[in-house]
Amino acid sequence: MSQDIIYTSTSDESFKNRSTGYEYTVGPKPSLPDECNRSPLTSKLYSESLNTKRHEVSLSAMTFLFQEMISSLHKECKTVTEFETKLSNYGESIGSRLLELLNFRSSISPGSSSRTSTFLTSSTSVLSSQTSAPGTNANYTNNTNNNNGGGSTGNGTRSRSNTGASSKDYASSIKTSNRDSSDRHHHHHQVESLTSQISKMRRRDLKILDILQFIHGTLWSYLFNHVSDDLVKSSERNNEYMIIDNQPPLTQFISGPNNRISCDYFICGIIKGFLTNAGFRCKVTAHEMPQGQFENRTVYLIQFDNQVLEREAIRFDQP
Amino acid sequence: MSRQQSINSSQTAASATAQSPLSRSFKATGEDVWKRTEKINAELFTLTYGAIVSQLCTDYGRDFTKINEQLFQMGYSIGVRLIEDFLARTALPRCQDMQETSEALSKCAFKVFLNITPRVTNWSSTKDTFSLIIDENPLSDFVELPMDAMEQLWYSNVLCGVLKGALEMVQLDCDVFFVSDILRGDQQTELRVKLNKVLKDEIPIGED
Repeated sequence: MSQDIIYTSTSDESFKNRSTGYEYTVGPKPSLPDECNRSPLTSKLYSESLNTKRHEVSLSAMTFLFQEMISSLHKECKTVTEFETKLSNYGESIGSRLLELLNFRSSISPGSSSRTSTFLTSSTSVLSSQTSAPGTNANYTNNTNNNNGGGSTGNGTRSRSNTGASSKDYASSIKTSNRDSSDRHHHHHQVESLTSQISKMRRRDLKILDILQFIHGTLWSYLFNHVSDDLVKSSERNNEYMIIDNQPPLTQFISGPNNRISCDYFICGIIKGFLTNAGFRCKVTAHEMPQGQFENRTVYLIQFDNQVLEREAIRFDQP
Repeated sequence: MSRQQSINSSQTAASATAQSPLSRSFKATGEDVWKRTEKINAELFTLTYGAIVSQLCTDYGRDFTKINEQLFQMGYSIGVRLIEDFLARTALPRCQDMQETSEALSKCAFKVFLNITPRVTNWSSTKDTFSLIIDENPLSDFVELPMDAMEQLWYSNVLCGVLKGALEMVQLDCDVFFVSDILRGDQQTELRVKLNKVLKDEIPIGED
């Protein structure tokens, strides 16, 4: 049946000429007039749960892919700066996704657990997940849309009075939208839902230190299975912070200090994408600072825009 | 008579198990090596691959034929280097036939690198072509293709390149290609491997 639907939509010439792919204004699956009366497309995306499955691949598979990404960038870039910017862009697209994903996963209420997730080794948050919750589906796209509706102007402008009550509404509205989607895709009824385990959304981090803690703890644990080795504030400039990794796993097989540090810009990009999407505009650079036994020790230097500091001063500094 | 029967039955039993110890050893090797392998979050892998494909889509102006080629090419250069890593980890001997190769691919190679075990099916009558059914593809988690890409893009085409490159390095000249992909609305993701010929171990020019 699904094949039939695809045939219809893709054979429509007028649509084909108009479309350049994903229609951001319409959503993931624009519905055509003749599609309205049909049952909706089976989309794997909607039936997939955002629950942590904690799947793993081998580090070599990841580094082979990473290396191939770098070598193809190497061919097309003429300067180091160009290379670093492009690599960082790759990371940014990942970081911006992780912001939403990790915020949802960190919102799982500990009470709804029947098994403890191994997703975090960080001591700062305890995550847990339910083994089965039939009937509902996690719907990432819907969630994100909802999210944008809730705070479209970004975290910076969300009021401080956004306490429990409103975030509860927010979470329940997500639930509702999810139920809709699960009704439409009812045939995938055995997927665990992430949102079914969230009774209250985790408040977004509005302070610089809070979000940096989140990166240092949750993001790093998610990416590399351990918290970052240090989070430091610069003593000279008050807009600079440093996240330190003693042994960056992805770039460990790359030789030559200068080459290696350029490749760390992938991680810089992830950090930057994460922060920028959370409303903290910044610049992230990688620096090599060997210390003792850690020859590959890398410092990710985060320089926030002045506007971020000004905002923080206005909102949080008591007179 | 009764003795002969017992001999016969023991023979058939032996021939029936002739293949399974082999495939069991592939399975055991794969699982054993996987346990000892350093691992990383599969979602980071998925997202990184996604970033690569979407960047290619921009770079090549959504010319999906070229993108398929490029992904294959990337895979190929991974494959020719990855085989070393694979052999070093598993210390597998040379496969005797394609049946063994298919088992090694599914139970060892895919297991060791991606922690999945695709099903081997659809053998051709000449036993030189088979399919790998990939039920769980870590490359395409959370992926949904836009409509224009659905027709032409083989999203996980990098895998074809990897297999092509790796098999070529062990003297197996193969064609590797996708015949269906769940992302395109197909029932299953099927990767086909077709042996063209077994290459001869050639001495590099000027070596003798």
